[in-house]
Amino acid sequence: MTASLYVHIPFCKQKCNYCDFVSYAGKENFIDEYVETMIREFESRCSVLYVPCSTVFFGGGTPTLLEPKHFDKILSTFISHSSLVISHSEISIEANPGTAGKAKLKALRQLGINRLSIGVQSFNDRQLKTLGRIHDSATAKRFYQDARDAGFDNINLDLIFALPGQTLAEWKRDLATAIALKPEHLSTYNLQIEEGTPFWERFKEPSPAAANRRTLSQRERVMSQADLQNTFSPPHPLTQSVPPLPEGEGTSPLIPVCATPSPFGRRCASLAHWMRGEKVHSSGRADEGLSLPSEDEELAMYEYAIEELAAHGYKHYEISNFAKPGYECQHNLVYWRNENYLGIGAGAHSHVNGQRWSNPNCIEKYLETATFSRRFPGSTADQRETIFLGLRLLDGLSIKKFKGFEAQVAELIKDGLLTEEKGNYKLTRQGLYLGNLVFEKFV
Amino acid sequence: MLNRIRNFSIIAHIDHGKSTLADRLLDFTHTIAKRDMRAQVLDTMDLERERGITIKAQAIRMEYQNYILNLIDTPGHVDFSYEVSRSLAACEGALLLVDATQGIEAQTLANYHLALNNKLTIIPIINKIDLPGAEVEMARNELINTLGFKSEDILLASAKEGRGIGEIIDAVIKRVPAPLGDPDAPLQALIFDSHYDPYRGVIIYIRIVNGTLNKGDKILLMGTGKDFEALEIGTLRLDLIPRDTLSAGEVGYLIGNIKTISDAHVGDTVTNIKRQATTALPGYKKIKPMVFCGFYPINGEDYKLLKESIEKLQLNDAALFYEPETSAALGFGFRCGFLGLLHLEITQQRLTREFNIGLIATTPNVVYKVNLHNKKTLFIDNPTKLPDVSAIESIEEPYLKVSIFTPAEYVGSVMTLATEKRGTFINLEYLDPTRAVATYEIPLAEVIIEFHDLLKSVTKGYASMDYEQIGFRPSDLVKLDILINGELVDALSFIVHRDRAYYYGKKLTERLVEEIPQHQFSVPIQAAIGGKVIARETIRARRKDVLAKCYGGDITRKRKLLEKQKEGKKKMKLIGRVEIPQEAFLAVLRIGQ
Repeated sequence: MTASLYVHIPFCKQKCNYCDFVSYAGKENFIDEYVETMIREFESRCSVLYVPCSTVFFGGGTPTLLEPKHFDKILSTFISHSSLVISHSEISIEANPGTAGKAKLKALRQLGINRLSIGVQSFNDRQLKTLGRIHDSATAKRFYQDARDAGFDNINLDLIFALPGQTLAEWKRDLATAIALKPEHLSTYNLQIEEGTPFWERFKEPSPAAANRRTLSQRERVMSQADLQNTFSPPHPLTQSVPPLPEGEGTSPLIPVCATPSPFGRRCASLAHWMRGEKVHSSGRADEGLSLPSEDEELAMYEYAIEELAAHGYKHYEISNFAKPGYECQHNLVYWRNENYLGIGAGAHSHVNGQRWSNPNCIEKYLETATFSRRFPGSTADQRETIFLGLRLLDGLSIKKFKGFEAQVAELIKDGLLTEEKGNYKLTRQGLYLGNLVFEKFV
Repeated sequence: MLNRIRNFSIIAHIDHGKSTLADRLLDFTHTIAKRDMRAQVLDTMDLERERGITIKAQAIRMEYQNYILNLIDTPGHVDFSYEVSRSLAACEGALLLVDATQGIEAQTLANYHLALNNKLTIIPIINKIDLPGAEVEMARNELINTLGFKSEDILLASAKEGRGIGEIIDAVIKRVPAPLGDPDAPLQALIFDSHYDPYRGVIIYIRIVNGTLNKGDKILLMGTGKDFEALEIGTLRLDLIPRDTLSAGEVGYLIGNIKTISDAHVGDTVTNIKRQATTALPGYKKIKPMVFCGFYPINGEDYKLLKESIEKLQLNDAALFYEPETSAALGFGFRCGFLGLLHLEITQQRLTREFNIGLIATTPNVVYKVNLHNKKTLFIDNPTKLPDVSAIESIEEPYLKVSIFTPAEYVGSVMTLATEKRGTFINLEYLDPTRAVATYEIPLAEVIIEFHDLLKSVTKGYASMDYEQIGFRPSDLVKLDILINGELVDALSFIVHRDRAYYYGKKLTERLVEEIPQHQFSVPIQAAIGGKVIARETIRARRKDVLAKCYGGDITRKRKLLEKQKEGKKKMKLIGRVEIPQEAFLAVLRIGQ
């Protein structure tokens, strides 16, 4: 059994519209002090992990906003205060295209960081603007190339689908572009609208029914006029309430948008919008009047990703994660196996044998911490958590872990959401799509 | 002594300043110490103060220049017109208040007629003359032209600022006649209000018409035939002031060993057992509820609490009727009867607020008179009790005569609305070039759903209405049923006119689609009449519900989310295979509101 280390770097150039992570723009001046504080934290708390660490993950925010010297300090502390052996560990860093040049990438690689996770999200410039990303598609591709040149041979690309106004065809193109780059690992996430983000204000759904109406199917009405003897009088305008139009209808999949950037890129995009009937504001915001894809479209996009990635040799090993054999993210597997990890930095979470804790989200508050109190491990991992996390891995987990939940398992098998294979219980394809219904049974 | 008594009341349309004027009168006569002065003293309940309406009538005795002035407060809302009329029956005079910025409105007129019917001397007062929008001359003209007052009899006042109060008191003394009555005749006292006190039992408020009441007398209530002992009697200021004797012309209270309010009906006559009056005082009516609905606790465990709370409310609300009832969809609850929609809403709010009960109220409905083929007649107050269609010869529904006061420019909209609500046109009259009153006969069932709100909405809030019951009339009525996933949900059934069946069916099914979450299978929602589906919506099956991301920092939060979703499902009512949230019942069943 091994443990993992997580380092949170909450600095960003700019907040994206969908982001609800712990990250802040405009606080780069705190970076030096922040690193010092993290080192202090690690020195106080490293003893809680009593087994060798085998993975490190620098997450954020935008970790690549830091300099190689910062990472050097942090990694050195890890080495001196724990049993971390760099050459035998997976050391990952999240990166944003445009925040590191080739030189920095090389330096990071030389420090021993051997896995890069690039936040591409989309190769469609219009989508990137909607998301509020600071890079464009060209920059992303260049960055990938730079990373290869710097010596990274374990790269992940993050992609998001079900974006506002996105069609299945656009998603297929994004995916094709990603696959063509031949990364070792791909994460494809269905966009989640989170409370407190700008997207929440724009796209939140007021009721279950709005979700229900966000479909492409027609509503049927059956009426037996003859039986009503009188022809009914249509409801008077005074008394009738007109139901709002369903959202999501009206996005046509037919007209392509330029995916490759060109000098006429922006105009091209505008033309496409105009042809699709979308308004383009003079401010240049091309995303007014967009709505989220329907549930059917989301599902189609997800299904397509699973099939297409399989066809190109990527194993679908977790709900949103695909990897070439041997390139599964070891750090994240620790989360899904409910194993132990220590998180340092503002907003970082830790888990040791069922005991969970986290640091304050606010950078200033984190920096003010005088002493980092000792933390103690729990006695054993929580069974419910082990199950609902473990089922995220598509191979499932051992039947033995389900002791006491036989009734729930039986129900889920009956409903076609769970199945048994090779001594494990795992999600069926239907269970994958309706995963929350499965997880709910175990919490 | 009699000739120094003046019994009077204040009558007005809502918000024309009745309660403020009452405050000022109490103030002027130094009846209440300054420190006890709270705005609108006579409205003792918070709810009343909040909605600005008086629900319970109270009475206060003032003394001024050797005169005894008994101010009897009355409920202002049309739902409670019986109580108003009995309070007026205890008076000889009434102050008719008209808001200078509004002029005569529906209840001004309704109360005026009630006062006239009780042969009261009416003193017209134009109030709120301090407001910038006050049009004193307009109000004066209306009082002269519509109600026949003489210009010199009209008083001006601003209750808020305390202007004109002295003149009003003088007018009461000079114009309101002293009560007539023989203190030596057999006792006849009118019960015009009552109140249940947890410590003292029922307190009844009485106006001695004839005779004398002494403490300790054995009394008989002539309407209910029950007898009690007058353990304590007295007069009223903010509190009770015990006395030994009350005689003809006086207003006061009586505490006997009266256990429940239903024993002491408003309008009943109190007399002395040993020396009974030969006749009771006129005007006593048994109260009949007009509007019904079902009250169900959201959580089954709250049933006992609901029962106790309704019982408590009924202690002080003789017009509240209730009996236990069951619904296949909602479980155990109560069918309650009210004087009107306002009465219903207030009761519902009191249950939710004062007793803290999570409550589902079903769509308000009226009593239907069902004539069967076998010549029997049934009165149905619950749609689910409607007998099979084959047994029914005809169904009759209660009708109201509705008078709507509106500015001239909205007359068209008002008439369209009334017609839309199955109203029959009776009359349209112009009070003056800018205001009209339209009279329609409208089924009560249409009035209790949306009518008042729609009226306000199409007249930008300027219209007001008053109504009276005019009996049952036959109608082409059908029972609308709602089926969820093929199963009949009885709590959602209601009786509707055939012409409106499609409209309501469509509206209901659409509302249900809004409120019921998606399931793993499609859920058809249908509205049907006698088994024939007339409207249908479908809730699509949920196809995707999975958390895309779950990493180290998400685990605690996402676990809580899953737990919350699980809890949420527990709160839903399972009908067949469909989980229905309480909000769905609430939203759907209150479809008119």
